Amino acid sequence: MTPLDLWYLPPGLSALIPRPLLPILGEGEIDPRDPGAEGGLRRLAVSPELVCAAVAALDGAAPRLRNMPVCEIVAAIDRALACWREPGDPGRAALLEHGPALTGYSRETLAYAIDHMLPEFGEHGLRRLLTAELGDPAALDGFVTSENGPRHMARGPGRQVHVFAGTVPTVPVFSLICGLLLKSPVLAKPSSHDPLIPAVFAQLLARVEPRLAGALAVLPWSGGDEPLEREALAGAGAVIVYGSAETVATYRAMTPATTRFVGYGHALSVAAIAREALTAGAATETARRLAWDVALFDQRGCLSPQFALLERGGETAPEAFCELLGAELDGLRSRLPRGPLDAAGHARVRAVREAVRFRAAVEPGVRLWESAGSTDWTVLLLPRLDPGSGGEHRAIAVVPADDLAAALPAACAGLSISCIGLAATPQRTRTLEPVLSRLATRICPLGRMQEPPITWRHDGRPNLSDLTTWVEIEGG
Amino acid sequence: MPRDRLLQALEQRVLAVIHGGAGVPMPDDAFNHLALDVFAIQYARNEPYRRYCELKGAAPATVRDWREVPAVPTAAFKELPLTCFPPDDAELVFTTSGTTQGGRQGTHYLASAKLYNASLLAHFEAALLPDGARPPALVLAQSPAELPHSSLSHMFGAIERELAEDCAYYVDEAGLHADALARDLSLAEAEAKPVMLLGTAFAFVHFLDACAGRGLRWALPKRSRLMDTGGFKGRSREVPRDELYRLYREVFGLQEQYLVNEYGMTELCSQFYDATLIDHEARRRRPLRKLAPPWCRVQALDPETMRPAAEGATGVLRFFDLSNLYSVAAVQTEDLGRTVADGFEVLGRAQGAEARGCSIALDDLLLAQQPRA
Repeated sequence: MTPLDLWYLPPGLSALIPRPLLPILGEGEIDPRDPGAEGGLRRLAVSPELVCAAVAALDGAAPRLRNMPVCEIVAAIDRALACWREPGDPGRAALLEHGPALTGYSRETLAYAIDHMLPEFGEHGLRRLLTAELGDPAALDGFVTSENGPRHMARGPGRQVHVFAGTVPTVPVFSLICGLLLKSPVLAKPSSHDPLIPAVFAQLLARVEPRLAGALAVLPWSGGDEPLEREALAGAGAVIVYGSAETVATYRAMTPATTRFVGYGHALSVAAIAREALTAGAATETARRLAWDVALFDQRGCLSPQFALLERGGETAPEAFCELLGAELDGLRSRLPRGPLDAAGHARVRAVREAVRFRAAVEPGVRLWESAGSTDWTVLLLPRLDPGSGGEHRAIAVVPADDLAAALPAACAGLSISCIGLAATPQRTRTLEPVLSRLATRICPLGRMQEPPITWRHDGRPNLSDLTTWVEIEGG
Repeated sequence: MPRDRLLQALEQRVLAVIHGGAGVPMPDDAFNHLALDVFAIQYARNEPYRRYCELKGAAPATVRDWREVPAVPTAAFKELPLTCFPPDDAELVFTTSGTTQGGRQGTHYLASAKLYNASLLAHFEAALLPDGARPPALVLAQSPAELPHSSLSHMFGAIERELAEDCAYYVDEAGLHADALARDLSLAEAEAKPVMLLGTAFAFVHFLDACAGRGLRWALPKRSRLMDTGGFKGRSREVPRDELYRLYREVFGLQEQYLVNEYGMTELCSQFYDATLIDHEARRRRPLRKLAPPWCRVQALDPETMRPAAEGATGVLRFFDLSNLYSVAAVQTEDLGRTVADGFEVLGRAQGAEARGCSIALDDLLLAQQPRA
């Protein structure tokens, strides 16, 4: 088997890779810390010197990247993503083989992301994104005429640092793509919960477009290594951090004041189901959609529903809806299996189940549906939202409510809500709009929570134009 | 003690086991017999528990083995009083710290202080004082007078009355009195009188930090011993156990064989101790493990299936504790561990293990909204 490197360095730096790769590992040996993974994984011990060299290499590659037309960058990304979909592609094989153990997602989930979600980041999607955010994409290459202003061009922020969290697999890929679109070389730090995807993407891109080989560096260092992080952040034009509030705050404090900083802190999402979506004819479809949003990425993303509000008064009672939801989640066990869990993960699901089971015996309105003999899925019917109400590993709480307009603000109070997945008629959506607009930055149809359009403004902010600087020539 | 004659009779039977000694194993069939009798009366007297058993489809008429008795999750103690007697008649009421799941406190109502004390003293004596010593106790925890609803402080109070020559508490509402403890340690060192240090691991870390700052260390007299308990979750500093043990040896001059970690919880009347001192006294070398007293049995269940895990395999720990006579004997914890030979290991609480990225566990947010207990 071909060894797989869990890092990516710009060309010319291989002499700096320390040997042996890690004290306990020779090249190509099985990594004993990943018992679920097959052999061939190689990890890199990252030193401040290596970071320093990588930064210098990225800066050296910057002029070439600046001179590459954005349409050619887009085409290269498109080719890389297409490669990833090819059955024989080594990047695909690496992802599907090592992905479950390294990322905690099932093979089917990773394949779904590559085959059905990443194509959104291909040529067509990227053109839409560029046009939506910058008008004429050619503004990234030089001055363009503007309809109602002076000729102008958009400059990226220069070298970027991206710090990833182990969320959904598409996030680091999109983040790196956005960096490249702005012609920024990117130094990326993958999460220890997903050391794989950023490295594989960078390797893939270098393979399909040698001109981009020097534009990315993916180095897995441990967060908190201050000398190393100072090297990484020094001179960066933009720093983008995904993670807990604490992680975001730490990097924000370390980032020089003149550097752009974007932090994506913790957030969660909610499903809201109006009574009109619970007619006898619609309830099964509504349950199917909620099940999909729960199952895809196992509630690990900020767009994952952590609980569902269910309006009373529909044709389908809450108990019957939970029954349907359980059946749909059960159907996804084979089509889209949940990722592998360690003992602690299983135990957390069990703890939630057992606590709710006891409540079910002593408290009216509490009920539990669950996968038999496994922790694959859990549906909790709860009269109110309490700690211990699930929200991970496909354990979803369904909370009945008399009226969504009143229940949504109450349930979301104090929570950082990213998305509300809504099952309602267009007419009902209109009446709820004033309430919804204050609670979240994205309202989408239930069943689409995990798959936002490429133009989605993450946390309500644009992805490219927030980082660009405009240069205008008046009278030019 | 409640006037319920059946419960009183069962208490006498459990007490007989306890008085038989913590080192005397109970035959399987004798344990099973008593366990099923305890289950029968708990099913009859403890109404919420009976409803839970009904939901699980288990009843005394159908259960033949103590392992089939429905175990209540520790979280159940947060919901409502789980007792076989009117909770107002409780002789002891213990509450959990409330920092774990739910942010709400779990409460354990105990009808008989006599039974509780007998259980805790018998096992403590076996695990910490197998040589018959009665050293003075230096306690790094609050006294029972200050924390009447802490099962841990109650335990130290019972030890103070029954098993220690002398006893002093070095933690109160104001915090840890490191100077007083340092002075008394020096005194013990000078007088060459062995002592027994008891407390929470967190308090020990606090004290060790204070000692490190001032370069303090002792060579405590031989046969001095130490018992610590609990973890540091959510505290300022986490210290791995190896590191903590190294510090106990270096700073106190204690021998490894005299270091005993206790595992216990408000929801269980029995406690569990490392077998180190027992093994040392019996002059045998065995792997490190915790021992349950004969009146309590432990299982590890595969968390994926909830079927019994093989010996040595990681599972969630479940206990059947006969001394939980007046509440529920079968208790399902959220702690991971594994059974090893005649004992078990605790691997830690099953929480917070996942990366959440830009998502966050709902619990973390809901808990953050609540004032800390």
